[in-house]
Amino acid sequence: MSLPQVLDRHLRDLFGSGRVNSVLGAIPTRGPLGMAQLARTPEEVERFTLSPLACPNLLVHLTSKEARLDPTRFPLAVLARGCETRMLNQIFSEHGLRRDQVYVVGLAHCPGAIDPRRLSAQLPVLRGFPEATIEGEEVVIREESGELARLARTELVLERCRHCQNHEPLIDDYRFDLVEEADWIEPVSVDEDPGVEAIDAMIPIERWAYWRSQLERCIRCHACRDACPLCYCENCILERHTPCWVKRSVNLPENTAYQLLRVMHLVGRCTACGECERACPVDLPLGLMMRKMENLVREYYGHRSGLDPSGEHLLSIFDPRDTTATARLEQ
Amino acid sequence: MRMLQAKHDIPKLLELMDQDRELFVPVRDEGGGRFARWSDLDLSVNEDIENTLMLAGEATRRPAKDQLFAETATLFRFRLEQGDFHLEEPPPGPSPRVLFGVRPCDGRGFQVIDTLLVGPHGGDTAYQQAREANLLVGVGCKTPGPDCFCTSVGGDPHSSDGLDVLLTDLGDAFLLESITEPGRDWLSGLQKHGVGFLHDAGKRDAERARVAQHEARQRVPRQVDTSRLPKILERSFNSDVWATVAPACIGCGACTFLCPTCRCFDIQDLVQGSRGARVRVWDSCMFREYTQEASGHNPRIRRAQRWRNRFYDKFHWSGDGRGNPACVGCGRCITHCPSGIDLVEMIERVTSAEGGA
Amino acid sequence: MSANPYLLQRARIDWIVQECGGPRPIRTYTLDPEDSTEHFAFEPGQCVQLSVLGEGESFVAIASGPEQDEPLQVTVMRVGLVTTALHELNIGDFVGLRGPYGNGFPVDRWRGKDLLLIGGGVGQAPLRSLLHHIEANRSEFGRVQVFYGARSPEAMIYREEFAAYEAHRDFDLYLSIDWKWGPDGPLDEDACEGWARVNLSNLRSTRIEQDQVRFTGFVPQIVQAVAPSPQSTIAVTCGPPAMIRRVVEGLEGLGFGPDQIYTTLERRMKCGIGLCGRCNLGPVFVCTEGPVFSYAQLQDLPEAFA
Repeated sequence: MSLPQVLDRHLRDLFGSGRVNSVLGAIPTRGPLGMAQLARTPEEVERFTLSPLACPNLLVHLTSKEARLDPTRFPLAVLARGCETRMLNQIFSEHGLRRDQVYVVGLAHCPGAIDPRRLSAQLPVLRGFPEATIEGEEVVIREESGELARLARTELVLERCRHCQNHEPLIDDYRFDLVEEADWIEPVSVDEDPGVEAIDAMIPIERWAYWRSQLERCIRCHACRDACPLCYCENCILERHTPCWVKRSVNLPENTAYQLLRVMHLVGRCTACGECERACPVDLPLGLMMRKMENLVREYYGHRSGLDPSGEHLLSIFDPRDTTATARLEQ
Repeated sequence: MRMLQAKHDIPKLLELMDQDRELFVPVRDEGGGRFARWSDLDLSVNEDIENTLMLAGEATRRPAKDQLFAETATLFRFRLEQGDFHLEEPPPGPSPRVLFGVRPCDGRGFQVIDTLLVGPHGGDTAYQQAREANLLVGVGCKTPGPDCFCTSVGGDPHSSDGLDVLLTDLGDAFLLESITEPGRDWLSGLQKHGVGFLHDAGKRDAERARVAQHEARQRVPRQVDTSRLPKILERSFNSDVWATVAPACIGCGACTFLCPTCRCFDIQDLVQGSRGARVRVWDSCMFREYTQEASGHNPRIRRAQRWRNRFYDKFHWSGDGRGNPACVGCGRCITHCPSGIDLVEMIERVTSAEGGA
Repeated sequence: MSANPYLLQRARIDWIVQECGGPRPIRTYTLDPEDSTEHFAFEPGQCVQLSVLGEGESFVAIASGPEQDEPLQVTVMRVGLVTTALHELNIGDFVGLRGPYGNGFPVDRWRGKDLLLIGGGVGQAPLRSLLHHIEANRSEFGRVQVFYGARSPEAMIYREEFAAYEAHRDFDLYLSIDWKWGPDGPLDEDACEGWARVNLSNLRSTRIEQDQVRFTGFVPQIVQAVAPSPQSTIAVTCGPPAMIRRVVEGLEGLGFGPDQIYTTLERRMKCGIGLCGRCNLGPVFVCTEGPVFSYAQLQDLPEAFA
């Protein structure tokens, strides 16, 4: 059993009481990543792990087309860290799912999740899904040989965890503490995000040169869109033929249009979970793009998505007295 | 033909290579590495070259495939007039090039694509022209990557299949061996010009290479038995195992776009003013839209169906025409799957679920 | 190295017939291929890749007969990007053309036999090609029964041609519309004028007694009610997947063997020449090894009925 007994028992009880039809958690893989698993029976919960290596955002399995083809998985319990509860809020607030369809098992005191690429860059010979624990500012990895590697936590966590402001679940039906005492990474300040600041400091021609060098690399595999739990439109604009907004051809203009459309469709919705960046097989700085957009939304509208499950969705708010956006345009 | 090349002379060799044919090399970049034009790189110092060129360790994340099977390739160009059009004369084919540092799995990948991009009405001309124009100089994998399993699918870290020349890392030098006739010609051309740093290799060098190759084979980290798959897959299409095989899949195309043997494509017209081009662009059988008909009907609407199709296409329906599967065991789809899905584990799961029946 | 297989020839649109209107109108285009100084040779059941340059290509069945004196025709429903663009074109405009592709019906093996042609909607196009071929070589085939159904009288294609067949009784003709019946008869009597409301269990006698050709009901039901004999007979069916499935079930019930039933399959196509990957039924590409398959073949091919 890889889950702590109390959590394991609680999840099993959820099935027993008929409260849920499935439980969504993560299981170990043979690489250092972890994988989503939809448990349909209490026995399947057994393989779940809370390892910081199990980093994928699981919520995509609540909103994807595949989930909609399979409504029997609801009501569903999901193991959700702070970042994921914020996104759940957003999904509820835009009526993507009903609150009663989801039983939220909040994973509290989240110390961050480990980026498999950063890990393998530091320990290239590492194999499998090693035992990993976070002890203060150190991540302790037990290698196959039994040797312990101690690595700096801030160097190893996902980029999104360096910016995280939601270490605690915003909503939950049950709460479990991942570590005894909360010990968060001091988040990069939203106002002084060095990545965003570096972009802002560029003159337009430099900025374009930067994005150009990045976007040229995009292979248009849709991983960013498909990994995003908020990209759940039935007919995605990025693959529509009539009219065709983005051509399939992989080149700078179409890649740019693709990423811009993707970002624009997440305005006021994105909760900066960074899953697009994590999923990207060619390491595009998509998280940076999203953070910049989120900053603009905050600056223009004073809005932060996903903080309140019954909150209003930015783009559906209309207030004739609203001067934020227009005031900005008149400047 | 066998030649020996001291590693510190590699820059000279690359300069020499770039003279007769345009040279492309595996380059480390922010996206995990890909092939790039040598003349576009600004490299002079030795250290730079070692740090930038990916001749050892992990392979480029993007396989060499895109150099011959471009993400976007022009099939023909046309001019539009009111209610009418005219085709334009095709441009001359690609000039001779050399792809230096191709990994053996990528070389074997081309052999698979060779069989797939030919049909009863002829082959894909753009690919075939690129194939003919490119000399493939491979470099064996001294240290295979974390998810490599090439030896389980008929390959080897030093397989010369599909390559014209193969390099073996001997520590301080590379052994260059010609595999094909064009490879031999190219190598002897280099020798003529490369007086002083390209030496004839002796028997001892060849022996050292065999030892290095044997050792590399032992270092391939993953093994899986694929020998029973053809028989098993013959009777498993309607098995329950497919419903359980990859529920974590998010349906993106990362696995197929990083695959050295995937060649599915879409065709689109690009128009600017009155000038247009019909292009083929990469597509992926993992996309729902791939089989979506205009009527709305979709024969592979579910992800499990698409996974099954991909698996069957790799291990049953397609191959390299030499008895090997259409998977070369490079492990890229495993290492870079955003959902952590592991093809080797899937092979095992299918084998154990269906093997006994 | 082979010649560029994606290259196409210009073909002038010589004539356009609007077969039916509605949200998904259907038109038949008569084409004059520019390069073919001779006849554009093909087999009934084969397809062409039709281009509206700047928009793309569409894989469509040839609707005309293969005989020398017939001009090349295709019948296209407006559903997607390319077919919508095609519907915008006028007589005298040019489309791109390559092909013919696919296998066509094995008519040589059908000579001397009785034939059932069972079509629905725009799926009638390849059957029309076959029918024209049969007409031109009438003595080589036995009894020919033609079933064709559409949603409504207005949705029928090749109406004039069917009317001519009806008048001349060249074939045993069963035309049908999918009329929606209310508790007290058809929902709109006027629209149904001339279309017999029949006892489907006794359609045969109705027809013989009343010399009736036009019926209401779904195509598979009509076939079932007519109950043709499988004796030395080949059945060919083209239409929407749901119709094909039921027709095939019905024919099996009537004693037709899987090698006596043929159909054409529709899949999303791009290259049309077996390269791009998407139209596969397992290892078989519909664009090159189809679109015509016998039911016996389909039983061995994965996802054939998906």
